[in-house]
Amino acid sequence: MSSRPLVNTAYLILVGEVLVAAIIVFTVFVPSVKNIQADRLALSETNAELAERTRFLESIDRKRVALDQNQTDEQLLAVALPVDDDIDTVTRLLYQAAQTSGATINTILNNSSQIERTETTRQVQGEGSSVPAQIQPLGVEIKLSSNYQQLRVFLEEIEKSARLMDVTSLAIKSLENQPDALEADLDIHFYKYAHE
Amino acid sequence: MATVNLAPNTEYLLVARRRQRSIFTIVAIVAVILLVVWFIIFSLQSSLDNQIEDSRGRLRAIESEIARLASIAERIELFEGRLVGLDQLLASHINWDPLLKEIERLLPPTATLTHLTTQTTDGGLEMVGFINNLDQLSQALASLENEPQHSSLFSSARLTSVTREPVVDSVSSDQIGERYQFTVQFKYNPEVLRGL
Repeated sequence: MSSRPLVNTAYLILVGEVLVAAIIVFTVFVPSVKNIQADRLALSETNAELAERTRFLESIDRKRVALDQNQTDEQLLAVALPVDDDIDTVTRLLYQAAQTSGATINTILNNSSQIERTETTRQVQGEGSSVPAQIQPLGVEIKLSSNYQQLRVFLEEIEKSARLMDVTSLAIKSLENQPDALEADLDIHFYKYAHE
Repeated sequence: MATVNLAPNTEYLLVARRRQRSIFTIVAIVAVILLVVWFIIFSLQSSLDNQIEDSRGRLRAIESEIARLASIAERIELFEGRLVGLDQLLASHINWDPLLKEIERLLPPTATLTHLTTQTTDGGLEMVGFINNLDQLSQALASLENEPQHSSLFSSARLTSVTREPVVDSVSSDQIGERYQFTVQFKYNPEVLRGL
C-alpha cells in the first residue's frame, strides 16, 4: 500500500482549510472587527450624548425648582427686560416718574425705529453694537416742563425704574421771565430681549 | 540479535500515517481557532449591539422627557438670557447724578444757567448762562477742569463766547446794570456715568 495518497489528501485538506480560513478572515472577521470598532465609537458617542442630556435634564429640574422659588425675580426681570417693546409700560413708568417728581411731560415721541436703524448702521460699518448681543435698544424722546429739582428727581426715578431705562442725552432750557421753570428734552433708551 | 523485517516498506506507511495525523491535528486546531475567534467576535458584536440599543433607548426616553419639559427649558433659557443681558446693561447703566452734582458744586452761585445740552455718546456738554462777574466765571472754569491740584469730572472746559449785555428793569425799562452771557463747552468721559 502506498503512503502518498494519504499524505496528499491531508495536505489538500489543510491547504483547503487555510484557504477557507483566509477567505473567512478577510470577508467575515475583518469587516466584523471594523464593525465592532465603529459600534464602540457609536456607543461612546451615544453614552456621551446620554450623559450630556442627563446633566441637562438634571439642570432643568434644578433650575425649575429655583425658578419656582424665585418667581418674583422672574417677574421683575420680565418687566426690566421684556421680550417685546411694551411701550405702554414705558409710558406708564414715565408718567409715574413725572408724578413723583412734580414734572409735567408735554410730549412723548417713540423713536425706536430710528434707534434700530442707527444700530444697524453701526453694525454694518463694523463699529460693533452699543448693546450686548440679543438686546435690542428702543427709545423715546420726551419734552418735560419742570424746575431743576423736579428734573433731578425725575432723572433719579428713571434711573431706578422697574423697566431698565437710560437717559442718553439731556437738553435743558430755562424759560424767559420764569426763573425757576425750565423745559427739558430727554432721549431715553430702554431695551428688549430679542429672544429667538 | 538479528531482526527480520517481515513486511518490508511498512515503516514508510507508519511515518505517513503519523504525518497524516499531525496534519489533521493542525487542521482541527485551525478550525477550533477559527470557531473561537468567530465566537468572540460574535459575542462582542452582540454585546455592543445590546449596549447601543440600551443607550439609545435611554436617550430616547430622556429626549422625550426633555421634549415634555420644552416650555420649562424655554422659560429657563429666557430667564438666564435676560439675566446675562440685564447684568451687562447694568454695567453701562447711566446715572446723571455725578455730572449734575459736579456742575452744582463748581459753578458759582451767582451764575444762572439758561441752556444745558449734553449727550453720553460723545461726552460733550454745552452750557449757556449769565453771570455778573467775569472773574468768577474764569475761576469757575479753572476749577471745573480736571487738574493735578483738584479733581473734576471734566477733562476740558472751553469758553467759546462771552457777550456783555445790559440788565433792564422789567417795569421801567431802565438799565439797572450789566451782565455777561457765556457759552462754555466741556468734555467728560461718559464712562464715569456708567455702571454706578
